[in-house]
Amino acid sequence: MSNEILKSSEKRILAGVGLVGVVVLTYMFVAKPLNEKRAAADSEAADINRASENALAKIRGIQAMRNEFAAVSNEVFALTNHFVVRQILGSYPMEQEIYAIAEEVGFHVSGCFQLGKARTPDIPPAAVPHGKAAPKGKVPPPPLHRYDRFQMEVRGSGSYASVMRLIHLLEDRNPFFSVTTLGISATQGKPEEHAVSFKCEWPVDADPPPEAKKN
Amino acid sequence: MSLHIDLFTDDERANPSDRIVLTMMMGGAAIVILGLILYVSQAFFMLQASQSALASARRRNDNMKQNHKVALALIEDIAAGRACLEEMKAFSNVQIHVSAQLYAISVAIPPDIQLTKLSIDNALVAGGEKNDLPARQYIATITGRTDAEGVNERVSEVIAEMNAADGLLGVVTPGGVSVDPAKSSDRIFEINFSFEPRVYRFAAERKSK
Repeated sequence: MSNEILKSSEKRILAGVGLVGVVVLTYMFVAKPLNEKRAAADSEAADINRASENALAKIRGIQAMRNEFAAVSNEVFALTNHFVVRQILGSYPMEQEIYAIAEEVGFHVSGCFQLGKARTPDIPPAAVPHGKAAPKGKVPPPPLHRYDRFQMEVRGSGSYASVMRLIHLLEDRNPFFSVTTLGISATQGKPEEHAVSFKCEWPVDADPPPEAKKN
Repeated sequence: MSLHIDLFTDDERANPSDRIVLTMMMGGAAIVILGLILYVSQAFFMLQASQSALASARRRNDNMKQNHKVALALIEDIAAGRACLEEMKAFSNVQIHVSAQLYAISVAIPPDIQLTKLSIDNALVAGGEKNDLPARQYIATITGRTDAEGVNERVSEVIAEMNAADGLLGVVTPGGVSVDPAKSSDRIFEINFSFEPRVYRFAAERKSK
């Protein structure tokens, strides 16, 4: 019996080491991967649940959003359909309207000059009149441009009252119509008649961006 | 006489304390192995439960996808509509009603003063609270002719009248009086109007894009 390679106490130590090894290996290659998979599944499920809750909140508001969309659409339609001037056969009907109203109020139009479209400015000029520089830093992204400002210069002659009435009727018919510059000068020998010139603008559809044009 | 022969070696001799240690070790090993099996089983079943919960969450999410798409499309459409309205506001925000101003001027000017020139112009300036937004500023000037006698008082009266027009004419200030080159008994006066810069689009509107 004394010839046995391992003594009983050594066997016990070896068995103990073997057991610890089995425990460690089982933990490393079985339990830990299982736990990791579970944690990943839990995390994914939590993300999906959060997204679902978020989606559900939006879905619950569908009816309210439909109502809001209808209201916004109606407002957009009312504004753009009536006051964004669209070209008819290549020219804007505002020109005819100016002539018609001018005739109605007794203002003589000597010429209407289309100055073309201008974009609503996105950024302020570098310097303001008081000499203060515009603040540096992040410039907000340019907003969408659906509408441009179509500008026209009108020259003619008439009384102060006729100019006032002409502009009043134009402003009244389109609340987005605006006179941007105005010059009224007395005419020598004709106190009731003044030389008048004004620039005006109104909203028109903006040209599509270059990428859209290609399509 | 009896003969006593000890056939066990020291190692083989049964030691009661060794038996206890051995039993304890075996018991301890059994507990560890049992614990390990329980732990692994628990991990396995918890994984099963998590995977089942994940599958259920996915199914729930998939079921609401169609309605979610509808909601997102509605949100996008509403935002686009609002952007249209905000863009239209950029027109009215910078607008001045020139006809109302012409009327206010005509009311403020007495009949014995003759206006010879009126001009309204505008410039692109920086505006807004932080002076970082594009704005339009209108400036206007009127020039008139009147008798030399009491010209300063009359111009002051006109300016006071114009300043009383509910801010319609902005801030009205005298621009100077000079002798009329055509008639030395008359005076030419100038009155200036300055208006606050009008911002095209406000910062909040721009951020919302």
